[in-house]
Amino acid sequence: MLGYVVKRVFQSILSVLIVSTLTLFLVYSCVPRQLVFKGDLVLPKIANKPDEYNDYKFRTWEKLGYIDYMTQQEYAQEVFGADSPNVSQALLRDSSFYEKFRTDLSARGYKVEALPISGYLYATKDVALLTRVFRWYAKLIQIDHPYRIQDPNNPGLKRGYFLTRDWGGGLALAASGTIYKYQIWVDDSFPFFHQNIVRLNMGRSYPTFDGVPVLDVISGGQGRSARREIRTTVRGEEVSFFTSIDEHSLKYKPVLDRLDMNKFEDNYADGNLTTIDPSMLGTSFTIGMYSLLLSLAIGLTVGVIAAMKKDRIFDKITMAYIVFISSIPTLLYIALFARFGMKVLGLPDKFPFLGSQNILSYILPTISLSLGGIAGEALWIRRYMVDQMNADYVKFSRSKGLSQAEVFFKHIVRNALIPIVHSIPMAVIGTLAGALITESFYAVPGMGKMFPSAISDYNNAMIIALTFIFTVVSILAIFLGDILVTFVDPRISLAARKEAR
Amino acid sequence: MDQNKGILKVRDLVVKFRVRRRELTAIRSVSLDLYEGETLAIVGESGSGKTVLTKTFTGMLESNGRIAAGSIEFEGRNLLELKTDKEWEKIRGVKIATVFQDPMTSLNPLKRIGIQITEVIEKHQKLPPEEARRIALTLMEKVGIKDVEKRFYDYPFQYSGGMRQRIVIAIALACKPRILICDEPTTALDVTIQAQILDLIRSLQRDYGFTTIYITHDLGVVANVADRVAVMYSGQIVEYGSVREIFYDPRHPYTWALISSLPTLARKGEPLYAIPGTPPTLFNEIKGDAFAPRNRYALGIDFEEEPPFFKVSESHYAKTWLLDPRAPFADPPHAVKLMRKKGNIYAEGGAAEAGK
Repeated sequence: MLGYVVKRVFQSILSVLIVSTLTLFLVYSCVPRQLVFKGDLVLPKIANKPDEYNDYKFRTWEKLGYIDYMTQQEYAQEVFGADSPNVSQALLRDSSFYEKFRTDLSARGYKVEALPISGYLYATKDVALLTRVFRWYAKLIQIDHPYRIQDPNNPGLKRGYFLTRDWGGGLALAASGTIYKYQIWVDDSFPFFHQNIVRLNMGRSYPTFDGVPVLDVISGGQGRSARREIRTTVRGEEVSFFTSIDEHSLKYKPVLDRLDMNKFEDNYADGNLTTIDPSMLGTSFTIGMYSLLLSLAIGLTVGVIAAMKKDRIFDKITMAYIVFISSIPTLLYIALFARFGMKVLGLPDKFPFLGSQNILSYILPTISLSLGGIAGEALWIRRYMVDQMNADYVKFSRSKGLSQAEVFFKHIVRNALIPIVHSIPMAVIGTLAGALITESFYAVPGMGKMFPSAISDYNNAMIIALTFIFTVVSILAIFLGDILVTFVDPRISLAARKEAR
Repeated sequence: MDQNKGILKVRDLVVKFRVRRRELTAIRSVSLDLYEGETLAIVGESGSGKTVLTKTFTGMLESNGRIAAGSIEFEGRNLLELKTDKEWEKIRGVKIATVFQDPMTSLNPLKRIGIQITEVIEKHQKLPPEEARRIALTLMEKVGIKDVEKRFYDYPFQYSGGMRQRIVIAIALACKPRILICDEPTTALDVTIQAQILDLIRSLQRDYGFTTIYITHDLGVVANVADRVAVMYSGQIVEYGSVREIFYDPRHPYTWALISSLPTLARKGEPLYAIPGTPPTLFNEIKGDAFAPRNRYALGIDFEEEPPFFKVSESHYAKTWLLDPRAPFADPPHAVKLMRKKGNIYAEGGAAEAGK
């Protein structure tokens, strides 16, 4: 079993690498780099300032990993030191630094050009495709440790770990010298055990959600910030203040202002805000999970009954429903159902009407999403049941004198459930991807729209990150499904089995 | 055997199926007596109605089938008066049990062997699980499973085909039925295992005293196990008698044809005999003798009128006009003559022995 798991994990990692490398190659080679500015909001404002325009473009490309970029000023700072008076000398029109810049950077393989108005030089160099891909992986996994922060202005920074309590009073392992103050903590939100030691860095979102790390875009809270009162001790003094900072996200901040000094004892003062609405992932997962539970509960029950009453009226109605749902466009039956929900049940047909805090907002999207799920589960369980009903062992069980009901519930249902069980982890994890049509229809702030909009916005970092995440979770889901099946089907074992006698 | 106590009496049974809006008659007026403790073999080619006939004994006809006429008398009542599944469940597995052809698929692959045995015992004998388990273990030992305590918790895939058929037999016998129907119990097994299973059934029959019906198209098996044989063709029994009578002195041309098809009786250098043509479709009403179109001994009347049963001996009857005193002499095929000769040797040997 262990050998098998190791092998599967190895294969999984390899698959993830292949998929994400291919995506990286595709995104970096097939998407023209000019297109990334399509959704940029800054560029139109500086369109009539050619120097700034140029600079902004090259800086953005550098940020996105396409090129290495160096201006005359930057090079001067590099050569003379940041505060040297020689830097401004170097920018004077008759300076010999122009020639030095040109020769030095050309020698390094850069292409040197002059800005159209000021005439200052800049140099660009394309980053090779392979290097881009390599750099993405190189910075993917970031491990936090007490020697991570090297701040020349703060030589006395303490380094090491200590146990503490967070603002909510929960136990936490905190650290100093690290990027994040809280390394490990427990609280009451899933999965109850959290850490900041190993973090994935998949770059920053651009042009949408500009500058926010992509993982924070999909997993960070949404909506307005949630303020709450905090009572704590700072430098021996009891203080109380209102804040919306999430203390677990506190990061090292080199320069503290007065407000920070009033709240924090140390340099860890840079935190994300807590918000009232759950993250995109969270919203999609909530709706998806409830919808999945509903689909399984109703779909399986209906499918089992339909199989028992095969060719009778209940079965025919079930089949009619399945055919209806499968044949008409999703948008149409969702629209029909939403109208029904709004007119007859008086439920909001747009999620933001009542917002994430009101349970009524979730009802229509959840049920809409289940409509298809119910049809799917009912179809498959009915099919597996009917398949089992014609099996010889069922005939034999009947000839043993077991009743129809006994044969159904003791023999057929369980056997028919096995393929369903196999698909459950995939369905659970699939909810993370969100439901594009349902979420768009009800204006649910979930994951569904992320992938299509990332593509249409040329949000490269987001495309790559989502592909990576979905690949990982899909592979994980299939693996979990395989493991789950070994618990319900004695014939399947993960270890290489001895030949059956 | 010579006990003449009837246990199951089938009279003029007619079974019809609705298939694609047409009705076919699968069993055309069959009468049959089963005697306590005997082994009856029902032989015939595929589609002759062997299985359908025995399914009526346990009310296991497919949902599109119905019994149009006749009666099946068992333990003093007509089984065809049983209407609900609940009533049938007191017969199935309890009084009349069935062993099916393919042991590989007869057991639920996901249930432990032991549970599949005990569920019958618990249901029909209303015994507590511990008691049922004890009985199941005994049964498993009885059918020749070793290390039963451990094997009780194994799954079917951990058993070989022969072992599974032993388990199927154990399940069938769990409630000590009076009749065991073996529907081609050895067809799916290899030859050495076949013999073991047949021996097993025979020895269990001695111990438990049940009556066995074998459905088979393997005449080798018939010769091996049967006391009496009924030959079926196109939904009718065309000849029945003791196993000796059927093998050594068959009278119906269809039985002749079956025996002629036995490879062991073929003459060297001659092609192996095969019955020409195919059985008639059962959708239409059959006029005369159903076998007539394939029968080279057919008389004119065979195409006009259905023959009655002619008595050959007390136990041997055949449904052919050839036995009518007015019929011309028909020279049976070589294989049948060969068998007759063998039969005479045995008979003389027997007589000689008796004379000592």
